[in-house]
Amino acid sequence: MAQLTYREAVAAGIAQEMERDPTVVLLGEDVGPQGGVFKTTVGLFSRFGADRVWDTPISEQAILGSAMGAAMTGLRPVAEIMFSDFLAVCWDVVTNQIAKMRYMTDGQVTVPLVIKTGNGGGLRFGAQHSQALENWAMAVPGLKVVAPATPADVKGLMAAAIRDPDPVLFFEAKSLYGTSGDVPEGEHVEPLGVAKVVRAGSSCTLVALGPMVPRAVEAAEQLAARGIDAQVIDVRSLVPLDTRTILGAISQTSRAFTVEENPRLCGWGAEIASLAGEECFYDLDGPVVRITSPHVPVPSADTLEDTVRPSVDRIVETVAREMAR
Amino acid sequence: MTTAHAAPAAVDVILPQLGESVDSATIERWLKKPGESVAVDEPLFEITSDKATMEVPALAGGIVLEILVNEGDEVAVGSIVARIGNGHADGGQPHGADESARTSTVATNGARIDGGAGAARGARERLSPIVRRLLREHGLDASSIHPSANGRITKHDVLARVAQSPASTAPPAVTPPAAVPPVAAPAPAVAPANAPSAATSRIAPVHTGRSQPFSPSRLRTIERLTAAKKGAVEVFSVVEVDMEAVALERKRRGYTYLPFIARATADALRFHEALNASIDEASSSLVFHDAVHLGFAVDLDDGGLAVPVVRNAERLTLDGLSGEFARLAQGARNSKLPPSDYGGSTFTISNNGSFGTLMTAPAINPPNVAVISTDAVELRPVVIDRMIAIRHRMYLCMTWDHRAFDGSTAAQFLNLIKRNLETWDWKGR
Repeated sequence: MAQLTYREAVAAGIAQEMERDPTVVLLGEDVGPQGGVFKTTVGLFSRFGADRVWDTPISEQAILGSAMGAAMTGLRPVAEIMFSDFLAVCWDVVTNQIAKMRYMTDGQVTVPLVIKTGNGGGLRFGAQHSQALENWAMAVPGLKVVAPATPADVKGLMAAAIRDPDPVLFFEAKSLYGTSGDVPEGEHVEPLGVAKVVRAGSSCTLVALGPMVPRAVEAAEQLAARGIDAQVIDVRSLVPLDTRTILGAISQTSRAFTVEENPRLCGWGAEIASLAGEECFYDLDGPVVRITSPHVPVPSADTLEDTVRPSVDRIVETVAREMAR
Repeated sequence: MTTAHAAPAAVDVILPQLGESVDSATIERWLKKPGESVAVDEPLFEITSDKATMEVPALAGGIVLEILVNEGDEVAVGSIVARIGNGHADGGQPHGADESARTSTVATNGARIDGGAGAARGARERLSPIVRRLLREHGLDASSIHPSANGRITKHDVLARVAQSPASTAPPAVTPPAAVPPVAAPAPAVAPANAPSAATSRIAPVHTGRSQPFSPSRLRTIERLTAAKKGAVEVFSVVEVDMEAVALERKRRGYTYLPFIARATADALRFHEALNASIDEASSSLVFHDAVHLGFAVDLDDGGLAVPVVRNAERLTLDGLSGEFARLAQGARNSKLPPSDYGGSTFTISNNGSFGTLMTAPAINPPNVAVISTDAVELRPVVIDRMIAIRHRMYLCMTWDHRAFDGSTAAQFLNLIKRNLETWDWKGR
């Protein structure tokens, strides 16, 4: 095991696959000698050279358009969109082109491509650089959507995403870049579409994703002091969604909470709540409660941004209040 | 974010914070009396503090239910000084799904909206899906469960109650798998709602209804049917019969179809004696019977099945058969038949047509080697002489024991019944 930061784990995952497969290339704004604006690609340029690590113009359409072409013609590109907010300017390429190609060509053309992007708030970047929009991607058939919470999962899921024969949106939690954890050395691959029980518990189930996972775990520790033994599930992959693990866990505890950074309306937890209502109804001992950001643009002011994103306190209070009903 | 805002039932009126350095005030004058209505923002009472005199507006509209502080009394900031409600006798607490939203609603400016006593009663009546399921599965009544501290019966409460009385009648709920192996993801994307999940498979116990012990007659039926399955090599054959002639004659005589079919069958049995036979396993031989003793199935009121026997059916006319069927069916239902009317059948008819079945694969009634089922007679379009006609038609089904004879025999037998039914002139039969 090596201690790596979340951002180092991104580079480690890409490096592992570039080493293994010469068709893997990396492109994006300042991903080369600069090592990425968020320093998630440090060392890759010096190790793999300018033939495989490309700095691009400041044009998201150009990045994804060329990455798609490269993927269709035999490479396995990892394309960085610096802030996930900027997916909006290349959303046509993502949703109408990349996501559809396999289906419209009856599998004759595939797009083995990873779009890695910094996602979510907490870094005081304001409304246009702080959005958690994993739910956008989840809503597009043809895309796989991954959002790791730990350095180990970053490396392992990045590897799986690169090896996957289809386009994967890889959401890196900006607020977790500085966190560190044990990462397996040597080849490490985590399968896509598998959720993880990160804390056992019998009172209720907290279903969390990305940066909300450590918050849910901390909340669970505090809830334990109040006699509430919360189980925490790290969803890890929104598409494919591991309904067996998630719904199995919900059925087991009979109470479920989602902890989501994305805005409330049509957030990913709505799908979990809907599935639980449909498939676990007779196992539920109370409503499925969603803890989300409200339906507002992320504010610039520090205190307001902190208020908007689900905090440990908010998770604890909501769970304690609902469990006491 | 709470989205539902039902009209609050009882609102506590709280002495508001009047200024940073003020922590109490004197109620100078009430501007409304109990029973009077007050609108939102309408002045409700006057207060004086060491800084000023001011009117305090109501933060919620409704009827002033009670005033808790007398004029001239000094109270601390945050104290409840009155209650406003909608004037219903019980505090106006309707019970409903929006109650949870209401109890969590906190009005601005410190006016606390309280579920009050009604909330507890509502909660008592509100049972979660799993609680309802567990109560049903364990045959318990909600009133027998002590709710936890929050006043609501939870899954935990029911399970605690179940643990107290292990002798509860129903089987325990299926325990969910402790750790479920993750599902492998198909490429390129999944439809999660359709994915088989642990949860889906566990819904089954929900449909487990009441249980009912088998009646003695049902047990006898089960015994016989199980015995039939034991040795027999069952084969199923069907012919379609044109019942046009029978339909006309039956209407004329006011009979059911059964005596006609029985008459045609008894006749066919005389030509195909292998079907009017039994297997004697001890001597490894097929035993042929001289007479046709025709068993037929009668539904009993208690859910059992009786098979009375028409003796020497081959000697009876249509009228004789009809009379016997009527007598035996009624007698069986009234439990008035002597033992001599049961047992010793050589062949059996299961009459399912009256229930509208298209085809039935009946169970052989041992020691018989075959059983026919008469199914619904229906008007169907059929081709006759390259023209389409509408005729009364019926599927005649037979389950037979392949040990006793072969398919050609079965087919010839069925076709003979068919020919009898289609071609006979019923006069004198």
